[in-house]
Parts: sequence; C-alpha cells; structure tokens
Amino acid sequence: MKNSKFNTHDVRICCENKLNIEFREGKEYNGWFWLGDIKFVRITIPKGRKYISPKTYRSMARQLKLSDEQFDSLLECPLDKDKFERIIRAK
Amino acid sequence: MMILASSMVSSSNSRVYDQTLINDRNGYLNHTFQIIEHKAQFPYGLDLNSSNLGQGIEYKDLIKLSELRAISKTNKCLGSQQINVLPHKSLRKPINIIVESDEVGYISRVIDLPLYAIGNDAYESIQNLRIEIETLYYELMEDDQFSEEWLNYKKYLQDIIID
Repeated sequence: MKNSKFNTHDVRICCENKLNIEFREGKEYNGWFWLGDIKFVRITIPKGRKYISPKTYRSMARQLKLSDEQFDSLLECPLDKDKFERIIRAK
Repeated sequence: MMILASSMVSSSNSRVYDQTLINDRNGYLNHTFQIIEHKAQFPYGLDLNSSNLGQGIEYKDLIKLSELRAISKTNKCLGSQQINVLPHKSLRKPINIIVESDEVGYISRVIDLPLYAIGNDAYESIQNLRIEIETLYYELMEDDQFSEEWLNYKKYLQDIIID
C-alpha cells in the first residue's frame, strides 16, 4: 500500500484525468465513474491536500472495486482507464 | 444500573439517540450503553469530548463517565454503532456503521453501503458519515442511471429514509 506517496489532491486529480470522474463539491468530493451510460462506482475523496491514512486509502480503493495494489497502480500510472474498465466489468 | 439525569428520560425533549457498543482494542465487547439525548444540549448527537458529558445522558450496564472519556481520548476502536437519524431526515430503522481509529483520526464506514467518512475524532467522523449518507441519497434520487448494485442501494435507502 502506497498511501504515504499520495495525498487526497493527487487522488482526485488522477480520478479526474484518468477515469474522467467529475466531482461534486460538498462536505467532501464525491464523483461517479460512468461505464457506458450508467453510473458504476462512486468515490469519496476528502477535501484538501491531506495525508491519506491506510484505512482511508483502502476505503477509496474498495469504492473503486480495486485492491490496494490495483489502486497503487492507478495512482502511479500503469493502470489506465481501459484496464480499470476491464477490472470492474469482471466484478 | 447507574442512571444520570434520569428526569431527562421522561422529558418530551429527550429521546434515545444511539445504542452504542464499545469494543476494546482487541475487539471484545466491553460495554453496552444507551444514550438519551436532550435535543437542546446535543442537537447533533453526543460529543464525546464535551465537558458537558453526562448531562442528559443515561448510561446502562455500569459504564462510568470517566471510562467513556478515557476511551474517546485514546486510540481505542469504538466498534459498531448505529445511526438513527440523518442531518435532515429520519430513519425507519438504524443504519449500522463501524467506527475505527486510524493513523491520524477516525474513520466511520457504513456496513451495508460503500461509504466512509473521516474525522479528527469519532464524533466528527460519525457526523460526516451522516452527511455522506444523505448526500448519496440525494444523488441516487436524481435518476435511475445506475448499475444494479447501486439501484439496490437506492432501494435500501428509500426503504429506510423517511422523506
């Protein structure tokens, strides 16, 4: 788990750029990943540039239906949108 | 049984707020207590760090106030809890959540939904989770363009939230 490498801002930017998730600003940032014309997964990201604790990191990964390692890959770049779609379609 | 402020129990301004289970660090159930909330004093629930702790609250099973304060100020896991009311809506039945300490604060998660919220203390994380649940409900009510999984969550929330 590479939670200490990223802050909440990094996660939000990654989700916006790689997964085309549009976030709504409320108490926290909430956004949906669309698969075709349906909303498939929803992620909550705390506001600001906060340190991500392990349980928060894992919770965000699980919201995206990813393992810790897959979430690491998403944030580090190897996992692109196509790979992500294949993962969540398989679940 | 130790009863504090027992007059609150029968007051029309009071209500049972949360049935709370406190787990110790090893996950064993230590205490069960029931909180009677006095609306005027605790409009958003129990403030574990409040110096007013004890006013308008009834504890059962002999949990002492000093123990509760000590638990809230340490990193001990608060375990499973139930949310009985949302910020602007009531619930037909409670929503089960888990509250845990994390490296820099607390995290609360809904058992039946992929939802979490964080806070500097357990109270704040639960309050934030209440907001998150209600936010999700509003989002789900906007349309039906959701996966089957999320449509099931929508039905679940529709069943328990009183509009």
